[in-house]
Amino acid sequence: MASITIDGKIIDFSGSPRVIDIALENGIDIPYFCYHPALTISGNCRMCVVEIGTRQYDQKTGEAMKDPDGNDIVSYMSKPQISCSQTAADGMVVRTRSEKIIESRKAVLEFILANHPLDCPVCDQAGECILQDYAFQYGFAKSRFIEQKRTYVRQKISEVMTPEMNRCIHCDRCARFTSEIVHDHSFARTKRGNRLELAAFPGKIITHNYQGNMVDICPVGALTLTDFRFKSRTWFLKFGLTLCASCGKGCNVKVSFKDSRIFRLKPVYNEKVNGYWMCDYGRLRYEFLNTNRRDTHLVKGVKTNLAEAVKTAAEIIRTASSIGVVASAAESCESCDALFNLSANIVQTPHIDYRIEDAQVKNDHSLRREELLLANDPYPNSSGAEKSGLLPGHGGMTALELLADPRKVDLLIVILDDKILEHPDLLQNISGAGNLIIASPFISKWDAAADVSFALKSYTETSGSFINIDGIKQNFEPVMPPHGDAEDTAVIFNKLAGILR
Amino acid sequence: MPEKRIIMDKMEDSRSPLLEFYRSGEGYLALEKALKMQPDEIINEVKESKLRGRGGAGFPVGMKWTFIKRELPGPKYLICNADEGEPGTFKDREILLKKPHMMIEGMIIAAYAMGLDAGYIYVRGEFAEPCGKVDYAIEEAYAAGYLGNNILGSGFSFDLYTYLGAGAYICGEESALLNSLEGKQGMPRLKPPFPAQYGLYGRPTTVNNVESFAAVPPIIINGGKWYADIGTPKSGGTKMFSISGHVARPGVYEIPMGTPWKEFFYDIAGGVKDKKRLKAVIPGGSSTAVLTADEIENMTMDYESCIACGSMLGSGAVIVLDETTDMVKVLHRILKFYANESCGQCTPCREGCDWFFDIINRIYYGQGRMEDLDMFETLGKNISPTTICAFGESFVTPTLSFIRKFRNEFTGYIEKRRAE
Repeated sequence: MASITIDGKIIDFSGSPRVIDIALENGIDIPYFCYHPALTISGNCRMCVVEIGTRQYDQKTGEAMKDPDGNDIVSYMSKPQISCSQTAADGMVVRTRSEKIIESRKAVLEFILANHPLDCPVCDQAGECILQDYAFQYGFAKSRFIEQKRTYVRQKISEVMTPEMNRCIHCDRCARFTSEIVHDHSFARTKRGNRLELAAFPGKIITHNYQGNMVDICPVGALTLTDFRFKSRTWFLKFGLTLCASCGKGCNVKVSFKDSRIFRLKPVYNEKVNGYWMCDYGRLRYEFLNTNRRDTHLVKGVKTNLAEAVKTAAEIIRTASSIGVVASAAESCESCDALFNLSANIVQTPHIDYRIEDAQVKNDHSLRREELLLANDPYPNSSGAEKSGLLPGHGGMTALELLADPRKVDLLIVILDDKILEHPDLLQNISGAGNLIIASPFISKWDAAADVSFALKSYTETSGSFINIDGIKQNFEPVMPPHGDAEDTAVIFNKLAGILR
Repeated sequence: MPEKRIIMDKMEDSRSPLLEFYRSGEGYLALEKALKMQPDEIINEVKESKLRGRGGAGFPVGMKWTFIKRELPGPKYLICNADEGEPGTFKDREILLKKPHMMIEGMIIAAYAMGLDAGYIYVRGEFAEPCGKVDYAIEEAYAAGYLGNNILGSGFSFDLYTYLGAGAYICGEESALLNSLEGKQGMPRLKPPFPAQYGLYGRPTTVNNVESFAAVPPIIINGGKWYADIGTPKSGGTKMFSISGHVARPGVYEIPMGTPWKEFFYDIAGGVKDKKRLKAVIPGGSSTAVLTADEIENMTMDYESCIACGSMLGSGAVIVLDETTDMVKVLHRILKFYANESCGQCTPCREGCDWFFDIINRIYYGQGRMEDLDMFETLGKNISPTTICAFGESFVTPTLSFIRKFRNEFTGYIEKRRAE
């Protein structure tokens, strides 16, 4: 196996990886701005410079030459080399922290900071800005640059992003992302020299569905998310890892929240699911988790505790002659299992179904046209619901039939998730059901008509798993505290099953 | 040593761009001869001639031609770099205007020697007229069977096209040229890979200067040794120099490599204009270090001697500055050019070139500080080793040479302000 020495550490490798990849994988820090593992190498920032050398071998004996202290004699290239474009070779010796390299990086930072406005106090990126980090790490508090700083005319480039190009360090990540990942050429480097500007075509704006990623990969605050702009300083936010539930893809996300309010979602790397990215649709659709959240359980419109609500619901279920269950693929596999157990094993009704959307009925596991990540199926766990068996039994009615005419059953149990609440027309008849039990994380106008209304935890507040359109099962853990008395769906239905057994 | 006109032979005749006139001399005889030779023989002949790249870097042409792997399947390309952009250089224009066939013949021979399929002549944006001449010459060559399929019955086929750039200095850098030719922004590529492995459209590509190609036919006809004997032991043949500035007879002169500076300057170019005293010379275009009159006195006009004097021969653009020259103003003008022409891709150059210009601009307009001169040194040290291409060096080198050699003029500007 080939091996490379980085800062005295001997590391084995196979294939032809880049020096920067080997270093980062082995915990050796190399600073960089323009490098991104998913994009082509541009090599323009010059921050990731290292010294590359080769050992000297005795021409006669072929043995590595040693200095009097017994160290290998290495001859280094006279100029620092960028480690992002340097392919590792067997026997290569790399120095990442020599005086020469530190000087070189300082010099690059001085050039970058020369025209950078240093408006960190009003910049959204502050706190998670790598330019800030490196300036602190390598920094000098005083600039030698006394000339007038470069400014750009502010242009509207998109509905999703707000540009602040004076902060731009021209790393070209955003433009490379647009052309290489989205295959949309609407954003590129224009002009040249010191006037180089990342810009959209004059009079045009960027319209693709992945612009949030451009904000994420922007190492500074040149591209900011309009939605998040000036909402919170990043250091006041807490973070948690979970999934995006806005379609069947199940992109891994980092939730930023304060108290129980979500401020933004950012993608988290998962090679098998979403890579480094997520779509803007999913990214900007978090607000439903912040608003209209139900924090108490109701019995006939009156607040009550969970035990009372469960007891009442059990009574209603026991006395009902026929029961219809409209389940939800927004619930985790574990909740779906609990619901199946209750409806199929305990009360033994055939009228159970999770399918609301066309894509679910057609079992469509494909992505939307011209999308990288956004699936046709808007539910995160259709495959899980299917696997749990939440489908009509022999002679059973489908979810849409139950919703269209709830009078056909004596009792309708319905889970009102965020997606179905977006289709009030589907729900207009449910008040007419003989008895109605609602379970939902959200307040809705149908609560008044319900005999029992359970407050559910949203998926960000509980643990469980989703099976995505590709059949990949992903677990998630609670990232934030629940709203009020809200309880996990599986817990509620298992309690019901326990009483009814 | 007087002028020795090999490429510029009979250039003064107004019919020189025409095929008919070119063929009345030795035109296309070299091609006929070359097509009967083995490709390796041609390359060896060029190697033996010690012809070095005339674009500025002086890389041995014959060696460059060995980098292409003939046997590799798929298209391979030949590029003629006619993006003559270095301030002070105007030699290639002469060839394009007056001897386009000589360059075309050289290209066909080169393509045959390396087994290349198509050639592009990348002409600088401002050269609309020379480009027209080349286009006409290409048409003539096609009609005469020197280009196209099965050239002169040899079975070798080669197509040639011109491409007019958009007028960026940086597109004279070979990898930026390739990007521009592909229709992309003229920004240099990371190297390695070099064009011989990954060039135009990712295919093996050889890039040579106009003058390098034009030197090939005489080498094939007369032999590499003949050409090598004309020059110095390390750089063979003649070189065209474009001399401008405060000189009595500015223009393009072709002289043997190794001609003493004094002979070239005083005997051939007529010395300083208006009998003034010589102050300094920029020997190889605006990106090379300036030499004082004393430094250049014993130089000979070849690559090694120029390096020994502390500068570069570059593209052979000699700019003469007489005693009346304001060196601050010259540097101001040079840096204005470079600040405008950086492609802006990599950090040190993008930020550095404008910073340099801002500083010299302040000095020039009376806002200079003494520490600015030292700042040039420290900033320059940080720019040149880390840029993607040689552009960084191109504006740092002249700046530092001006500051070091004519420091009193710069301090004069700064002090004048203080006195006021």
